[in-house]
Amino acid sequence: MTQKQFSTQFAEMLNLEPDELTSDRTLDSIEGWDSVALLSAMVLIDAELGLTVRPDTLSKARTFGDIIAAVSSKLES
Amino acid sequence: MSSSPTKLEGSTSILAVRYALPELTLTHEELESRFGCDAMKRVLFGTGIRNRRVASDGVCGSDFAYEAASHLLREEAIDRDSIDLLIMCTQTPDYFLPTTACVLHERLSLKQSCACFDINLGCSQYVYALSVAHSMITAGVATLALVLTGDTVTRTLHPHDRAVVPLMGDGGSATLVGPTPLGQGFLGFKLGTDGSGHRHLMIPAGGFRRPHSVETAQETTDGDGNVRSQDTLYMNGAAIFHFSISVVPPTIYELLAELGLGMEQIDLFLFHQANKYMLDYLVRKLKIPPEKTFYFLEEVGNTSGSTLPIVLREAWSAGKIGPGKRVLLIGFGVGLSWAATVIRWPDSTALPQPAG
Repeated sequence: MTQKQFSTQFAEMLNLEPDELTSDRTLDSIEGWDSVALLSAMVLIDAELGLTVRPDTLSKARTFGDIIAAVSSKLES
Repeated sequence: MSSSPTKLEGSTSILAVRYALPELTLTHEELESRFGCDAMKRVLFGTGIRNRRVASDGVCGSDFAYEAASHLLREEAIDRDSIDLLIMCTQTPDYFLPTTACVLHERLSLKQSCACFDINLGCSQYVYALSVAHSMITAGVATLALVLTGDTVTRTLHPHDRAVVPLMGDGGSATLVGPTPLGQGFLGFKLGTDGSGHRHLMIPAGGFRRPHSVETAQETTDGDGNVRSQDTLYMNGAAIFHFSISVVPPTIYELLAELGLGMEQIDLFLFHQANKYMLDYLVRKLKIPPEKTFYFLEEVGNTSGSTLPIVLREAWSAGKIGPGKRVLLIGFGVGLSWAATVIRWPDSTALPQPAG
């Protein structure tokens, strides 16, 4: 999965248009980024990238770019 | 004359199951007024739980266990003098001391040569208790067991803790475990623990490590607006979710490998009914076809260690379980602790008749 595909799916999960979810978008600014979304993100990352990411990796992320960085090893360049 | 137990020439199985729930329901609508409609919409999506049963004041988990056991003994026409092992599974005991199983011994009028004790492991307690009953019976230490569950977890929650109030429910169950021919019944067990996760699901105060005090009763509000104190149940939902999706698949694969069985040879997978969203994902991750799953939580909530016997009874009543079917049960959660078993449902659940 490429970074673009991952971002598109992540945006869809948060009810955002793909271009609304840039790397520098702060997670606090996303209305739907709550505890349920965090679990959905874990599922997305586990299902699509085969990575069982630790929840504090996601809860400590400030921007979407921080999440990309956390999963980058599993994304196609 | 030797007094060592005579090992059983056979296996054991679940022979009967009953459960009991409180009548009172804490509804989705009531929680909407408490937490807001939008928040509850998210909760319903994230958990699949709409309504949950709540015990009335003065009612304990043991009362549901007692009710279920009474029905079981009567409806299955079991002579209560034939019960020589009672295991009560609870983390909300009647008293810290004595053991709730002993209190139930009196209520159920069981004989004095009956062994009674509690197991307190929450979500995994049912399968742990089955493994103990199976081990004691096959070792010849007991002959016929009642495995009871019963909890009132809703009593341990802060009413404004949205992380837990919408999930938890109260209730209890009773299961008869007895002999069955070799090759039937319990085929094997896989038990596990990760104590490093014990802080993710706990009531911090009230035990001897940190007794109740004015300080422990102080309320705190977390980043999501959830209110709790050290006297109420704390659950790190994301950490438990992470634990569940990490531990459940390998446990199932390892148990099946040890039993020489493939996933396709299991007819029904029953998971601890914690959270439908998580179970749906586990089922997807394990590639289990939908007809091999069964759920029962939307209307009753997560009843902790009682979810497995309850969903088992419902699946059995719905015709999903019968002679020859292989059923996998897996409980996982608080501790952190987990336990899985595969049961080859017996050809007969009747008790062997005593020799004439």
